[in-house]
Amino acid sequence: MIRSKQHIPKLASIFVLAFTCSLASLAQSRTVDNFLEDHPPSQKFFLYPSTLRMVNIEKHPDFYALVHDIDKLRVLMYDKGENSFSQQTIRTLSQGVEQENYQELMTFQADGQNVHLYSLGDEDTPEGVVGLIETDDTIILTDLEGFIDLPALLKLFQGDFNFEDIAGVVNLAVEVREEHADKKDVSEW
Amino acid sequence: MKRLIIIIAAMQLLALSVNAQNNVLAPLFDKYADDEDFTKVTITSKMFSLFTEFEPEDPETKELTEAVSKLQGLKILASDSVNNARSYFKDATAQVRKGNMEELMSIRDGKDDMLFMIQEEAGKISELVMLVGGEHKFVALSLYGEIDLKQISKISKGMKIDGMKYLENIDNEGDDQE
Repeated sequence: MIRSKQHIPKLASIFVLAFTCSLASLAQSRTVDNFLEDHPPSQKFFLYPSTLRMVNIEKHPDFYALVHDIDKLRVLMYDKGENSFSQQTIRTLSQGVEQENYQELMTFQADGQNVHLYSLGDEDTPEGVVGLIETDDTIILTDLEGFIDLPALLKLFQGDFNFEDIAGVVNLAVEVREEHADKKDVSEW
Repeated sequence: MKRLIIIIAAMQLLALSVNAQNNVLAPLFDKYADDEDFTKVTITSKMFSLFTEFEPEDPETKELTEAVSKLQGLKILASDSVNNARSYFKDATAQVRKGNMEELMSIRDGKDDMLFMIQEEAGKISELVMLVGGEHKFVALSLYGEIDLKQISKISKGMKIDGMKYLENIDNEGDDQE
């Protein structure tokens, strides 16, 4: 079981990058957009294919296949301490997303982490995905444009690929940002 | 009108039976839904259906992808830090044995007991239940859909979810069926 309480928890990072499985994610969730309008995130960043390839330290070919068709991954992070979120916040977001006809892909609850993944559209014409991740001190919303190769993901899981490298790079990125940038600043990676 | 009522009633019964079939452990999962001692995982048919979109080139991955795409759902309840894990295991075992399932195998591995039960109809496995009980460890897993035992071990390796590793024990059983 993976535990971490600082910055982006490892597990959440892995889910953000590995399980945000949208296919041709063209749609944006109104629920997430409205939430963003009402609540400026503590941190907001975009991960592009070049950034995602960076985490492939061992140059694993299946990882290249995995991220090859990702156009952009948007991550919005909210520090609960800086916002007046209640225990209902994620529940309300989930309900909003479901009302937009997003379908639940999976839920995960462990060690104070609460992960919900939703996708919009059917297998032939998938339109979007939303990831809602809550930890003890953070709420993370994710949006992915493009698609990931799910069989490649399966192969990576079966092999010796170290997914914690992803968390390491993302955590490092967040630490660097915290040291050198204003917290309210918005950056693209 | 009568006919319509009968059709609606039949549909409701069908829905109930499908629901029951897919949720042998549902009362258990509901009972501990808010218990923070447990890891809870639910994967829906929607997630599995996304695999149908891909056509991998290498035969092994293709076979695995096809097997995954036929799954309908997965539920896991797991903890490695409960004090009365054996009583959880005993209660869950009793609950599963009450259902219309047959035992696939049971394993004692060190201090851990494992029980695998399946629901089989016309040669097809529609549900696999796995229970693990140890000194402080308890895992209840329900996998449903069209299940290929030969692929279960590979699927479990592919998921890397707490509790799934025990499914790798099915590998030998799958080999026996070949």
